[in-house]
Amino acid sequence: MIRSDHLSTRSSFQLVVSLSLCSLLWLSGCGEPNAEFSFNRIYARHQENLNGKDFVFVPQQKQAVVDALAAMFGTPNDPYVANVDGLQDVLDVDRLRVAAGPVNSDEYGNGEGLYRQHCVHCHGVTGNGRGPTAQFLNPYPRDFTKGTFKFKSTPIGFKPTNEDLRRILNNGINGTAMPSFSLLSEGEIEALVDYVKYLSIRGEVERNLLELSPDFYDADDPATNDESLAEFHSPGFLVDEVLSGVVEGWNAAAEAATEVNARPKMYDPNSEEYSITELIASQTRGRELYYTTVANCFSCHGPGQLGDGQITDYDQWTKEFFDWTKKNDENYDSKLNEFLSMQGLPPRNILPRNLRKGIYRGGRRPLDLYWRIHNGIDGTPMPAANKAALQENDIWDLVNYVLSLPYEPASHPGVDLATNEQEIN
Amino acid sequence: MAKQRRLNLTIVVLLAAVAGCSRSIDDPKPVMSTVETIRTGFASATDGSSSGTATVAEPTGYATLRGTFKYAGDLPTPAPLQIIKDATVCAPGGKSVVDQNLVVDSATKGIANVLIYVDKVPEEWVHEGAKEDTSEVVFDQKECVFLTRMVAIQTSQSLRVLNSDPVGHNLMVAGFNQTVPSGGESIYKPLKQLRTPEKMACAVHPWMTAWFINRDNGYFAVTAEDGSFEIPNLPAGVELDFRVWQEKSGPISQVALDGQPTKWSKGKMSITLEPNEVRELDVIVDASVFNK
Repeated sequence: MIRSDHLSTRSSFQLVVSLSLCSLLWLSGCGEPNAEFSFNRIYARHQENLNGKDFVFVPQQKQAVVDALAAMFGTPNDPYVANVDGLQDVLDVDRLRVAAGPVNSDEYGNGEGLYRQHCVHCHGVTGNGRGPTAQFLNPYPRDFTKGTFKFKSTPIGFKPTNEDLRRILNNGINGTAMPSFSLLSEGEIEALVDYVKYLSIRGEVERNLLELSPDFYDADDPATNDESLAEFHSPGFLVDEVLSGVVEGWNAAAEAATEVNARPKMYDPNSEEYSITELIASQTRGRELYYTTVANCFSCHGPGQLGDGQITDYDQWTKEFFDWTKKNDENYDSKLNEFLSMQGLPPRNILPRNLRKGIYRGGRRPLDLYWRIHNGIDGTPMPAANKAALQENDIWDLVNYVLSLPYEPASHPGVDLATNEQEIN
Repeated sequence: MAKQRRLNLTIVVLLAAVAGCSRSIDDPKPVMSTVETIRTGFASATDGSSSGTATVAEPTGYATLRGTFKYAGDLPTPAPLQIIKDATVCAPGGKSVVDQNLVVDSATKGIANVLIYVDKVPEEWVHEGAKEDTSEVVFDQKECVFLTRMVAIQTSQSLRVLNSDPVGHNLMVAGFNQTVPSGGESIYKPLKQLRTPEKMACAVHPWMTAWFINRDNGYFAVTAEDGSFEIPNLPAGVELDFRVWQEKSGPISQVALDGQPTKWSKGKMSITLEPNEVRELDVIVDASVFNK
């Protein structure tokens, strides 16, 4: 009896243990994936292509990249900021810790794991814009790892300022799935701003490592590879050649911001100096500019401002791996299959904004539109205004005109031809 | 019996749990011991305790590298481009516009627009005549074609972008995208040295293509129509790593150099020149190098 009792207790115990083990496996394995930074396979493949036929990274090279990244930046649960070359001036590790890790709260109820609570579903653990919901969204979420940002006060080629990132987090991006996070506290927004910068810097550093890695491995001379690898992991190389350019870029952002004088008061209905006659005159001048080759807006935004002038292009994120405009290229299909197999999202055209809708992604203040027109939109076909031909007042005229468009009937008969029509047809 | 059943059940549940989780696990994972070694390196680098005084060779003079790139095989047939906008300007009279991604001179078989540049060279090795050039380079476009296909300038130089078309263009290149009005101009000043060439494009006319690189010194050349190039004032007596690149092939890694089959791994060509030497390279590139 005793023996049998003992047995049955033991087997029940075994059953409980096995079942808990299974549920644990199931929970940790499927329910909540282990948060790990993913390797940028698409960019690695891109670099292989750039290095000529037959070139492929060997596993040691990929491993060396992943190790260098972990040494500089840690992991999604345990972010790290290497004490090198001003990196700690750009990233505050305490703020990163509030944003990183699993969703939690401390003993005072302060949130932790903010990125995974609010951002990861769309932007992904690595910040590559390929979270689980990404494929259902249009436009796709931003990939931070290229280090390029669209809506900012700085010119093309420069990083956004902290204020630019804060503005996006607080306001969201109108016309997209990006919501406003203005209900978060100031401190939480700061933590997320730093975390976005962290993912972006990490992503750009990964790209630099992949770009430089081919020089650190010689298939014809394997004896040299241990030494090359040591050099690849040396602080001199990692800091000077890989990291410092990226860090400098972020440090230079604030100074690079385009300063804009306030919009003339005569255009502002809330000002005592407001003049409807001046505003209409400005809108009329803006409309004329719209159709000239000087501002050249009509080329892409279309003669009816519906955003239908140039609809075949792709943004820089999409076009980096392959120029998808080349539909007739013999490699098009194989490139597309390869891109999708590496979890690339199906390429979509970038469309010029339909200016009749009154939806302005980067913000609807006159200042926001001034920045968009004056600086262009980084990573997209939208160019900066020509510095020699367009002055500050011309840009305000364009801003005033653009702001008037949603209120004019689209069927309003307009000048729908370029002003130099005789010349070009 | 009961025990056996339980065991079976356990195995089934276990299998289901494992099989249900088909997720990509082939990404390399960081190895913590290596990570620690790298971090230790960072710490000693900040202490200033790392010593990096290797003996480096010094140049013993200056020399010139010149030569020609010739094409072996049937002349390539350029593919027609799709002119989807402003056809009256970009393809006047319905003329056929072709891709210039590989330009071979039918008479000499010379390959144009091959870029040759020195990869890394210490600043103090650079000859006076090969640095700090501040002149302007004109870059024009007509009939929606960039008139220079491969642009190479020093970082200190700037590009005066013209537009000889009656339609507006814009020039997109590394860290730059600006409208260029008809008959107008735009100035592009590069920010920092590029390691490899970047594409130049026009957003209005997406088929327009050219390539651009800026370097911190003047040790670069682009082959002319007959495939010839020349780089003077190169440091001699030290090994130089050149990169050889063409837009269709990418790095040119397989050539016949002075008649000998030669491999330039990833387009890298290492040469040590003698002082005052004028080294002549006779390079033949087979058609297959340009077919991906």
